[in-house]
Amino acid sequence: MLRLADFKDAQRRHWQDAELLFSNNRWANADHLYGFSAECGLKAVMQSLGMTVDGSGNPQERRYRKHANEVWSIFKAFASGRRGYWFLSKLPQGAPFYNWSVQDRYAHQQSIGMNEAESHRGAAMALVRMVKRAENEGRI
Amino acid sequence: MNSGFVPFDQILERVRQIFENFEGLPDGLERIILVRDLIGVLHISVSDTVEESEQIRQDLRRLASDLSGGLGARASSAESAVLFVDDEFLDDIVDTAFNICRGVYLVDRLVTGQEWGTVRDSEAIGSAMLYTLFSVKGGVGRSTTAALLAWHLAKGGERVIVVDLDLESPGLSPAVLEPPAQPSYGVTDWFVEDLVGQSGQVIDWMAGSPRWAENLEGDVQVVPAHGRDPGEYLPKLGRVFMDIGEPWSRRLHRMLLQLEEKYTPTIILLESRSGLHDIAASLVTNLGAQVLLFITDSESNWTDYEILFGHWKRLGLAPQIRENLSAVSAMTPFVETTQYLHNLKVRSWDLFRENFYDALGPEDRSDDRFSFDLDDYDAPHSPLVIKWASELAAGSSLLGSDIVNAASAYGDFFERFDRLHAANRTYLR
Repeated sequence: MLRLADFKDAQRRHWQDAELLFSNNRWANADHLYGFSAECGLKAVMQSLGMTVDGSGNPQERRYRKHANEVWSIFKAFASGRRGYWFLSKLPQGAPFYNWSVQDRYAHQQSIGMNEAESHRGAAMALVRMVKRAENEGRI
Repeated sequence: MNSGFVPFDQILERVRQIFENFEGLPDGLERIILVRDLIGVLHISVSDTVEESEQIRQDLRRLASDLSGGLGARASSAESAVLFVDDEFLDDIVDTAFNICRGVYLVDRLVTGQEWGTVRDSEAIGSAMLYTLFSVKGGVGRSTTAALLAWHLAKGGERVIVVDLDLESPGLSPAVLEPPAQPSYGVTDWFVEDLVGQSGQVIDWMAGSPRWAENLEGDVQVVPAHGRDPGEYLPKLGRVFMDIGEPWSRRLHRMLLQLEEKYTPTIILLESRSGLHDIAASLVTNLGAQVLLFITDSESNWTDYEILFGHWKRLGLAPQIRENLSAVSAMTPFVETTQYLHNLKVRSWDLFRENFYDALGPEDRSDDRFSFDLDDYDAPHSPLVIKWASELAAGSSLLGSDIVNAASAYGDFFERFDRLHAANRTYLR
């Protein structure tokens, strides 16, 4: 059964579980979940900025049906207006997930180390903080 | 290529060079849309139908690397520069794009002023005709003209609504409405209440009629920026420009529709904020209104209009906007008037010719093309003339019979406006 997407909640749970794994030196799977957390955070933001979703709660338009490595760039490129800027200004520079791939779930665990997980953790954390602040300010 | 410092204004030229060296688009690609994001960095976006082609991906990686090399901080890093997006979306954004070279377009994402780059035709505001009074500089008599034009039109039997959208510097209502006639609410109240679904509660209480309109054949309703008591104006103003769920100009369009439904006007006059501001962009380009461009013959005035007209020309919007524009000579001095107006007309002609008028070949007939002689009385560049008069100084009262005195400066203007309006009516109906 397909369950309804809830990007805000999914961002939080992926983040929390990633943190558990990270604190237990489980870098590869922590890294994997930081990527999902970031993807969900961005989709929650984009939904508040007008991204439409289908009956399952997933993006209707193909350009948004991507994982963190791509959706990050899509968001940066197409954000506009004062509201878009508010979110964009709170994201780290560059494309922190360019070296993250959903395919890495099949990779050997030793190919993803602490440094990689840590850099993705930083970007995912910025998104968690941003979404929380946006919620507090009634923006999302 | 070592990019070094690439200032914003060199981006387009560099992109042109890079594509020249690249010898056009990668095989199998019809178009590339470069998105210049909020911080002025370029991303490549292409149709996701080519995502599976390894050859195209390789070509795009090479292109991304060339762009990154040639544009430095102005291009997204090569690893993340290529975005694969749906064709429908590309079709949408290419409408507002600037064509850099064959198959290559640039789309801007802006914090403010995005609407200067889109021109929409009017979705009819009922049967009313819309006129926007716009100027690049303030203090040139837009409010006064709005009031006097409303008076003139109502004298001829028109039902007129004047809307004060100069929200940061409102002035129309106190000049034309005595306190008892000032309504309880204004434009800011409508926008703030609309955010919580309550615009219907204020629409009936946001217009007042000037005393001088009482005995006229038609009707004048003035919709001020705020009500008799401005209330907490700044906290309201700070919420006016929210575009939750729909663009701001769509919200404005809804407000005008509600006013139209209540007052059944034949003409709506919109007093725009001056300068290259978001509100002005909505009023000038997004409502399909006829736009009266207030001009004074000063260098800074011309420079601002060159910026604006040049922007429309670059984006290929000239054919959509040019028929909506009419020059107005504001505050025309009463000494050496003829010489002043001649100079202004020549500058205005240059501005329109450079950006909007079709060039005529020897075989072309001017009535087939959008092209006008310098002395063509009804041409868009030929100014509607408002004379300077002491009665029109800023802040002057237009409450009672003062309006008749002030109208003396508007004889020429009214005559030209009537011709313009008659032509628009014929054209539109």
